[in-house]
Amino acid sequence: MIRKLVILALLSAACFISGGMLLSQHQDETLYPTPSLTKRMMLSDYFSVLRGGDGDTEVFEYCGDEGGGTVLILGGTHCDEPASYLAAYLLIETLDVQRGRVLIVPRANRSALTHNLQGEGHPQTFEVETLHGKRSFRMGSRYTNPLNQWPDPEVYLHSPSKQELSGSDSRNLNRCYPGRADGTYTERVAHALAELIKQEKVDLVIDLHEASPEYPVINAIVAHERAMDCAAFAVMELQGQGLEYSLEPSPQNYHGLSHRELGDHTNALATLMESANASQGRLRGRTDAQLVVTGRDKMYTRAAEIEMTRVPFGLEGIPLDIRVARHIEGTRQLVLAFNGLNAGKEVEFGGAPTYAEIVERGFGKFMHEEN
Amino acid sequence: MRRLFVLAIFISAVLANGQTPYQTPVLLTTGGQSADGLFMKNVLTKEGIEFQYKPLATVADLDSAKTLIMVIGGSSKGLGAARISAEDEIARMTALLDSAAAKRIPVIAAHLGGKNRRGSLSDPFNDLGVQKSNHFFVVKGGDDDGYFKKRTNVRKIPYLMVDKTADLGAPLKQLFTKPAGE
Amino acid sequence: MSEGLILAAMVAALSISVFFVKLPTGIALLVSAMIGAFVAGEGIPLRHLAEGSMMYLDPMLIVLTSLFFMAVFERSGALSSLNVWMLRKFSSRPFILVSLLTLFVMLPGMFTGLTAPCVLTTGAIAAPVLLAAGTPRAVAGAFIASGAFWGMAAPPVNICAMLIGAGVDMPYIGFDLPLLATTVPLALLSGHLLVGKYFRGLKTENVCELIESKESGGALLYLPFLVVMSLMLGERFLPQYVPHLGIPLIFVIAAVLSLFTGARVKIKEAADWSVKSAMPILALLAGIGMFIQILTLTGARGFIVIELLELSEWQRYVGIAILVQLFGGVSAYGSSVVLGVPILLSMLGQNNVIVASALSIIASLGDFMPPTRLAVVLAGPVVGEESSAAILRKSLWPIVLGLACGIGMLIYANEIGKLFGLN
Ligand SMILES: [Zn+2]
Repeated sequence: MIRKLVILALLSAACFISGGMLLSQHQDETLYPTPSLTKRMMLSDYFSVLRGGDGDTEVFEYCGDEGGGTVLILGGTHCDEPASYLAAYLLIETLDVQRGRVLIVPRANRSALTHNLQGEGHPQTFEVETLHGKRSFRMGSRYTNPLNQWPDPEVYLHSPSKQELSGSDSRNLNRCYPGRADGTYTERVAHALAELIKQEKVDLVIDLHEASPEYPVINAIVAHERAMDCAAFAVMELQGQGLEYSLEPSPQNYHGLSHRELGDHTNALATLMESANASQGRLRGRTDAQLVVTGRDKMYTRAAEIEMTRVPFGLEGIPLDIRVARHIEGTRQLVLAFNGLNAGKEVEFGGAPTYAEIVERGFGKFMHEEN
Repeated sequence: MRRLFVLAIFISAVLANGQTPYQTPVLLTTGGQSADGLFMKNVLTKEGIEFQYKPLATVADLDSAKTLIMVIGGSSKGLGAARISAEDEIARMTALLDSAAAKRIPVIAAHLGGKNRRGSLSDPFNDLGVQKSNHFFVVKGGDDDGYFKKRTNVRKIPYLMVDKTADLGAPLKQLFTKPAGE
Repeated sequence: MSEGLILAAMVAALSISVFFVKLPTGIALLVSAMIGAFVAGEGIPLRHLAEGSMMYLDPMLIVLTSLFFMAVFERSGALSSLNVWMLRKFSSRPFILVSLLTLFVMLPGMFTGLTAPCVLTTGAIAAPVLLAAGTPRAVAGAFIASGAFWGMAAPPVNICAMLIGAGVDMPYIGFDLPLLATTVPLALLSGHLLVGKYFRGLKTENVCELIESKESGGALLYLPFLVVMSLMLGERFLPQYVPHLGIPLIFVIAAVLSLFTGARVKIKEAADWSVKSAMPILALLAGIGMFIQILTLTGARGFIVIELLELSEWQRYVGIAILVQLFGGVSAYGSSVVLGVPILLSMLGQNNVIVASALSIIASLGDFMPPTRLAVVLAGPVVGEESSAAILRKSLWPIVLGLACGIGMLIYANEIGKLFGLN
């Protein structure tokens, strides 16, 4: 009897402690937008069903003095792809828009930042050096938190295409577009984002992602057929700067992805960018906050030697700074290419550091903790 | 040395003829359905070279063309998007290239996608393109192993490596410009 | 400490705990995970252990609720009644009977991509028929585990193949035909090889006694089973009419229904039995989750993958045959995601659909493999065989056929792909 009580007490303590650790991940990081911010909105402003729930997420609007087009930047669709939301955070804290409008949703699937994918051994947080000391950011999951959407079906039937995917993809925001107003939690978030695009008449969508170094579409811009010309100009410009980028068309037979469905179901030009993230890969060695930030991994260096990676992967790894820098520069070039092709709808912004600046000093040094 | 000799013959043939064999309009297509064709489209647009872009061009499209530019390198997403199998793409390329040869339409092959467009998926397209072209361009990164260099040497066709796709503008423009003296 | 040594420490801890200290496998996996984390310098990573233990929450609930459903369904008299009917109808045609039993056992797996519902529902229904025909308990267990394995791999739902496809952005299209053409014939072959001889000798008189000893009940008895099947199939094929309830809830609904369709059931006794039977399996699933989490955390997982990929071509096929299956023994889904995706990426020149199908079959074989031996362990109580090792020994046919099929498909992926008109 006493033995049983002791075991019970120990187990309860373990549950209490780990439960506390898991709960701590539900707190959003504070962001410090530049004075150029014109409006701070919620996604539920476009689809009220989300109001107050974990799916409701912030929308930052930066309006220039001159009229022009509208660009939407999505970060944090997959929250184990940190460069995607950190690039969005960095823009929020540095952007100065002169012409047109920039909308930023840094945590597109906010629920996915509140937990880690089971079995992946990811750290809950990682730290980045800033001018004000170390700043901590959460590492999240590829999927919506099961607390918000559960249980998964065995087979996820995408709507409206009726495409079949594994059940866990029903919680993958980038398989749920264009979304459904009366669908699952994740489909409602996708629907809300599509509504935002329609109501705000967004011209260009840039969905920021990362992928594992062995994934075939990497260091790439993927574009809907209507966005191909714009993306091609951007890629050429990026290649001209010595950055390795490839241009990939959005597959027509693979549904639920932002570049396919947002292109098909809204008037926006839909694009998506991928950088290489070792902490997400299946070949990675030890998984910790170090790996997330430095992108250094000896297993991937071995993998590169047998040509299993789609990007060069030396001992120096692919650090978060480079990945964020690529997303910032890629965004800039997409917008410039868009401007070149759409006279009268130009979007012009400054403030954001250049690729070289970020790589040299680290993106954290450009983030502002007070304004 | 031998290459120089061949080049000299080629150039003198051109001069004797009074004009470059590379005439517009150009039919621009891909070999492997990668989106890299769009880069070439951008370059041609910028240089004001008259062209028609048809990623899935067929033999019939050659009727209205005087030069064929084929951007080689495979993309699984591209093949998927075009709903064409790798084998059918090879067949389409072969028919197009053979027909161009029969009609004496010169072919420029270009590899623009770097390392991403090499390897087991891309190289069948790459090989076919370089084997049946009259002029070859490659952007740095696509030929680190000398794959194209070797093949163009064997076939004795001009080979030019540029740092980035945008640098192709000038040499292309030159190809399509009638030589001075006419 | 290097990843290889950490892996060695974890495997050693697991083997010692299971074979010498004789701990239950679930606890042994926890011990192994803790030792792995400790030697890697992570101390006792409570959060990781908690997170890992929840990795297989859904399968846990499925096991628990399907056992409860089976307990109630059996006690309502439905099983014996169904068996009587089957034997009366087909006892003179053993070939058809064995084939039908095989397909019957496979059925839930074909629509869930899991072995547990096969073993615990249709497998449990088939068990008395097998035993009545004189099949030894261990062989009957192997037959059920075999049907469950082939059912898991069979179309239309093969979750392993979906997971592998998802890792390379390949839609789940074109899998049905190749999977159907391989799994169903091989499942039938496995079934006949295992129990054919017992049914061939089946004398009508031998089963007469059994048939006469129990009266067959009314059609109402089978209603819960029909409800399970129609909710599972309806959710998939008529999603506009049938709500998504999830398998656990479907089993609970059917169990409640069984209380009213047959003999009086002592619900507490049925619940006690099912929780007691489920407990070691639940511990096992929690243990696997923690084990995988620590394997990944410490880098041992990446070490396994990279070692496999560094092998030369023919060595790699051997490596796949051993590692994908053994890792599948920890978790078939885990094996598909962790090993299947990189292997597919290393074989991109081959037909993707066939390679993914082949890997899914090999990974599904993991349900026979230690440490979990899920299909075998579940089949034990269903046929009343205490030793799961005995069942495993009798399961040689499906394992050999599955492996041969999987490796053959890998080697001849392009040729097979053409056969099915895939590019
Ligand atoms: Zn992503």
